[in-house]
Amino acid sequence: MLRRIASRSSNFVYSYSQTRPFPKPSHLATTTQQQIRQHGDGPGPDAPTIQLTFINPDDSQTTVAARIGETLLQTAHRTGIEIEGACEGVCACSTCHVILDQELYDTLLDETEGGHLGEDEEDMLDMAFGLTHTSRLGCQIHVSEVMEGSVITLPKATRNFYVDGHKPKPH
Amino acid sequence: MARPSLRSFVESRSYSTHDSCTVGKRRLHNSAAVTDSPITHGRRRLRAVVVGSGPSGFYTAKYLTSSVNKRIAADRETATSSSSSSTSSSSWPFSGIDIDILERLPTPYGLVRYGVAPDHPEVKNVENDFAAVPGNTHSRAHGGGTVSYFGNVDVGRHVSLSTLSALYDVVVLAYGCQSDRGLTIPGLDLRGVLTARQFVNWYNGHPEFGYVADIVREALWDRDGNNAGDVDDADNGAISKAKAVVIGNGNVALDCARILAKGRRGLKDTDVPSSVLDVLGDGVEKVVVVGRRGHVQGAFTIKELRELTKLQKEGYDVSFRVRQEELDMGMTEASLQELQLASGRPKMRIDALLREAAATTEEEGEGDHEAPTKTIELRLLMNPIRIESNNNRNNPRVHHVIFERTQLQGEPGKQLSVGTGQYEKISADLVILSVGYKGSPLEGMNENMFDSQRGIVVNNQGKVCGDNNLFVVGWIKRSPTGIIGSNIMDAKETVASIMKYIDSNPQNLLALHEDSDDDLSKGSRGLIRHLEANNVKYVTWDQFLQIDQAERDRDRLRNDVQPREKFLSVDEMLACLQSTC
Repeated sequence: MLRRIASRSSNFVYSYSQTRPFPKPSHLATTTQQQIRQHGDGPGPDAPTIQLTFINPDDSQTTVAARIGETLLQTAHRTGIEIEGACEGVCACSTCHVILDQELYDTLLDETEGGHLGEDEEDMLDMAFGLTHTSRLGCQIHVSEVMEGSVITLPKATRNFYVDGHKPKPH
Repeated sequence: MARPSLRSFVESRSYSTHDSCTVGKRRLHNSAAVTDSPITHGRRRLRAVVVGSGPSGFYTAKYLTSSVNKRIAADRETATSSSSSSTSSSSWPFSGIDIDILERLPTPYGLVRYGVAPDHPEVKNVENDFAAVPGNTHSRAHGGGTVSYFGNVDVGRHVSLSTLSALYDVVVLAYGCQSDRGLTIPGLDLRGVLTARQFVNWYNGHPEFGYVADIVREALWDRDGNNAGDVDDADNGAISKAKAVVIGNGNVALDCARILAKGRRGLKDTDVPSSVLDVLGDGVEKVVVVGRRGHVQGAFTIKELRELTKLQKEGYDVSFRVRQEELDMGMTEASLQELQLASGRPKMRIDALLREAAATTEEEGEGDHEAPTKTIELRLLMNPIRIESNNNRNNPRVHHVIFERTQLQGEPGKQLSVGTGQYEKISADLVILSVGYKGSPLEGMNENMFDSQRGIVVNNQGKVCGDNNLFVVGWIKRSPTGIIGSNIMDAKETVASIMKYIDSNPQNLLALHEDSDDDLSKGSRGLIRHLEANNVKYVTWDQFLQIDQAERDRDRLRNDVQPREKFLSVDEMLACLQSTC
């Protein structure tokens, strides 16, 4: 299936010799501005909802009612799930990074234009903390019926900031 | 003015040599003053101070408030569920936290205001999130926290670190990096050579960098040094024929190049001060960004690179060039392996982007369609050797930079650039050194607390090493790299260390500040008393909001979309407060 090949999950460790390792840069094909969905007020309290479960960084779980049509970032902010949205949902930072399970990742990817993520989202994910094969930005996912019962994992703080092996000197 | 130095403060405490970096080992030296005060005699609020109001400072204030609130809520829950056996011994001895954020300038947000490129306004949206921190917390019911802002307070000058340490339970250093990583090549002192920190602060309107304007003006518009030339051209919207060289391969280098190339027409809708646009004119004809190593080792991220490739298409009249042969030269066996690593994905995408740009560069060279007037060129594998002058004795200026071609050697992830003996001269009227920022110790800091090699405060997960109540976060904790988002995990780590420290030291904290909440000598009130006694005109949050509003006043703006016209001096900011704007 062509779309699968275009997905990050299967491309993560491809060899350098491939001539076009990533989907054709979309600035040659489409305007990326159209792909950025803005973080507005979102649907009101009357909107139909589905159940989503967030796995928090401390492994606790929170199940919330997400409104169809709002972004995952809006769901999180509305229900008190701790996700930052530093750029306010305009795909200009990577602070609303979430991790999906493979099945949901694939389902959502199939629904995107061209079967791949927007260039801006990919660019921002490159800077995300703890990037995985099934990472997305919460501001770019709109809640829909297909997500009913899904589990969304928030990235964990596991990095030691002494990444280069530096040890504090005793004194 | 006599003020206690941190050294004497620190030396008054006992040190243990073997476990100097464990969290929560605070012992009080002057135990005579400390009676065994019971924890149960009424709860009090914690007092914390954050030095610096950039992203790391604000995220720390935000997470520390929520961590304390959660702790109190959890405690309350346990208390109600076991209310029958009501000994309050298990309950937390604190009823909330009050945090003061100190800032050297009147205005907050650090590098969001003075570092983030003005043509990336969406990145500055985070200011709204930070602005809610002092606002929200005030209105919370009991058990909540307050966050107060004290601008125009220079720690080390207006209030010493040791004073803060005595006034508050917890002191968090979030003051970032105020100096430059050294590059030691001859010619750095020539007129026309700037560090990226100087240039970035200037184009962002930082009050301490107005002097940079003259240096840039000379470089762009008075290249002969006779003052007769084309100085007025800047105002006429001309494009400078000057050549600029930016040394370094990070996002800051790309920001500098983009700002230089875009000029007035490209930046008029941003918050670049009008006086800066007057100097930039309609941009610089040729900007060369030079890196010592290859594109796989570059510190830039793809978004900023992609932006350069799109300048032409977006109407900025700037083409982007990169040389195929330099991309190939950087693709050593080790570089290939670096791309294969799990962390190689971003590099892989950068490689693809640059190869495409290189191909476009070649196509453009062949075609006869009209080329853009301005160019940004990315050069790789070139090590700056020396900066040379125009040999004008009366008015020595930078004239060109000598680079040595390098090649990569070494293991994947540890490749170094090694000279090849081939040299290249690149003309330059302006040289910007963008090889990184560096942190400095705060005045009064014990030398053991600072790692001068790395330019960071020595810490273990945010706890400053030694027997003290100091914590650290942000660039001055982990060295100057990363994006705004990097501060989130960083601040969470430091907050976890603070909570651990509070939990393991409640007696000591209470003993240190055994006073009740009414005590005027501690926390905010103690600070205010100190500042007033020393005649420091601090700026409150509401006053900052006044400054903010005045900067957005329509009469100040050059067009309808310019977000703000910044005040360019501290005096102007303070004057605005007196005239009630």
